[in-house]
Amino acid sequence: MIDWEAVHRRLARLETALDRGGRRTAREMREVLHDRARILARPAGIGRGADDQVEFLEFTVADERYGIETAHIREVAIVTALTPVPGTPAFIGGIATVRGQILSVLDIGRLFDLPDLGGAPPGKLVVLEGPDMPVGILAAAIIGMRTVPASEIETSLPTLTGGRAPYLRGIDRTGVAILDGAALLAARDIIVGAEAGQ
Amino acid sequence: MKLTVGAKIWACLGGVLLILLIVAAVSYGNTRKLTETATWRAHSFEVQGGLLALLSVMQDAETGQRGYLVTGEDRYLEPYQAAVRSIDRTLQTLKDLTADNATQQRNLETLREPVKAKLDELKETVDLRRGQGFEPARQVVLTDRGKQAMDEVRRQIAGMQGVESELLRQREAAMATSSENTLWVILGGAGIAALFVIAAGSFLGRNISGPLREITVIAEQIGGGDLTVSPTTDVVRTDEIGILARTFRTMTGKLRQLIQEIREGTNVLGTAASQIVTITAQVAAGAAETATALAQTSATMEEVKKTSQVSSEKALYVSETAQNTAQISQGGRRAVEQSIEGISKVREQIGAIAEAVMQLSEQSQAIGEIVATVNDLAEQSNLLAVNAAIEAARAGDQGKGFVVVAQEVKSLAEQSKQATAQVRSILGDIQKATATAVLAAEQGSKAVDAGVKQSIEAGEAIERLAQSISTATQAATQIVASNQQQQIGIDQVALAMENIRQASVQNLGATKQAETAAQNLNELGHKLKAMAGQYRA
Repeated sequence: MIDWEAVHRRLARLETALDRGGRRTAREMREVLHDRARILARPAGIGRGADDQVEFLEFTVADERYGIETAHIREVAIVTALTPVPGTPAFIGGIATVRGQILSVLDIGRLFDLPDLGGAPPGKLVVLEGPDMPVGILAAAIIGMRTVPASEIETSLPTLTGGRAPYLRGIDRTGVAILDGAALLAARDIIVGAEAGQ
Repeated sequence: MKLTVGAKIWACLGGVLLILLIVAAVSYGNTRKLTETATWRAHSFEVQGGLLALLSVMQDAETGQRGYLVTGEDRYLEPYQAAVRSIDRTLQTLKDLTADNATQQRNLETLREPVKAKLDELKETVDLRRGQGFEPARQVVLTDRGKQAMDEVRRQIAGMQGVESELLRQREAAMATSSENTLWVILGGAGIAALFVIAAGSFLGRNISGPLREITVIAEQIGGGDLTVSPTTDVVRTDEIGILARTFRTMTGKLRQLIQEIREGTNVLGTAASQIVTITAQVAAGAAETATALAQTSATMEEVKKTSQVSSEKALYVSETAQNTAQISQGGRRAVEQSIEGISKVREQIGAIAEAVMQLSEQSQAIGEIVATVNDLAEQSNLLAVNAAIEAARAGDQGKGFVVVAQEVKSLAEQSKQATAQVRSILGDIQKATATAVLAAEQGSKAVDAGVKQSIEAGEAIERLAQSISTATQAATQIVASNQQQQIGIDQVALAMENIRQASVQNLGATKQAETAAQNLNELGHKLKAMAGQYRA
């Protein structure tokens, strides 16, 4: 037999909770504020005195984490429409517009021959400030800014070989592959129509 | 011998008859000849008479003529005139009598000449006497013409008489010969007939009487009880004697067989009579046992009657109980109908519950859409925070404070994302719970359907139960009725048992009589055996 009395009591309790708007209690709010204050109280820019700090933007491509130095980054954006361009190499995803400006989009998953594991589709775009024109890199997710000492970046790993070796600066301790923005921008391969121009 | 006995007797008698007929025929012929000869003798006498009459007439005429001539008186002429009148008639008579004899006819014609001459001489003389007187007439007479004519007449008549006498003598001789022949024929026929009769008697005696005597002797022997004999007569004979002999032989064979069978039959009869005596004794014993069994059966029937009464009471009880049960089953049927109505209401309620749960699910989907929107907002906020951090980094030391703000914005955006993720998780749980609730409602609905179906089946079962109970009630009523009939039947059976007992007593008496009859039969068998023993087969 169902205890209908208990059911009715539970429903009444839920109704009062909804009336309260689902807001957190004062104690919970205090804990949140406390955590936030502790983060803010953290000393900003650890080891800022040394010049060998590397600041980069961390993002994921095909379940692999990559990073690019913020010096080369102009902004991050959401890809609204990606237009394929015929006659271009496979790693050129196409062209897209960001704030009215047309830029070519680089698919480093294709460039590095990463296996397509069926993860989240690349919906984000990391816009690099190139010498001639801005270049977008397709990313699955933007994780955020990070700062690590230059000494923690390992540059002589045996995995840093193969096709992507020219575009990598190294890998930090957490396994993020840090790309060389300058190398990417300077690569002749990625300029669409360069071969046609020659 | 191919002829039958009758044919043989007929042949013998026929032979005798034939001889007698021959004798009779011969005698008849001779007698006829004798009679004829006698007639002819009379005829010859007549002819001789006629001739004498003629001579007499002629003498009468001559006498009358002489008297007249002498007297001249007419009265002496009467004999002459009578003779002249009858002379022609007499001659005619003679001619008729001798019509069969040509010699006599010729002699008669020869006679006519002298007769006529005489008559002419007489007439002449008479006429002369009457006319001229006596002398002329005497002259004429003296011429001797008349005498000569008369002598001629006499001579002729004597010749004719001689002829007739000769004929008469021949006929008498023939008559004597015929009489003698007749006598001899009769004597010879009688002798031959006697010889034939003796021969036929001997033949018949040897051919018929002998075998019959033999068969008679055998019949006497058979009558005396000796069946071993058999006729030795030639059995290939085809006449009655042969048939009789064969029939006798067959009869003796059959009689031998019959006597043999009678002996065997008497043996069987004796055995059977003994067995019948034994059997009648057994039947008598069986009748006594039957009487005992009848007494036991009567007692058993009484028990059966009591049992039947008990079963009748039980059947009445069953009938009443069945009626009570029928009322209860009516109540059960009503309860089932109410139950079906209640379950139908439950089905409707479950449908309402499913509908409400579906509405909840749709509202959860609306919440999910809102949460997706919030998630997009959080994502854009995150990107904005990153861009802000990038701008702050470009600004260098001037943007240090802005980095912290950007970090805070990013943190809020991430918290928003986490909150939306939690809400989405909760919505997933709600969706699962909704699906579970809908599934439960569906199962509940199906269970309700099954319940309805089972209730209907229960109702039908109760209905069938009620029908069965009704049938049982009827059956119980019928049992009561049939029990009453059974008791009546048991009474009848008791009556019949009494009849059977009486019949059994009668059977016992009849068995005694049968035993006596069987003993008589046995004695009869012995008598038959003794009688059959008198015959030697």
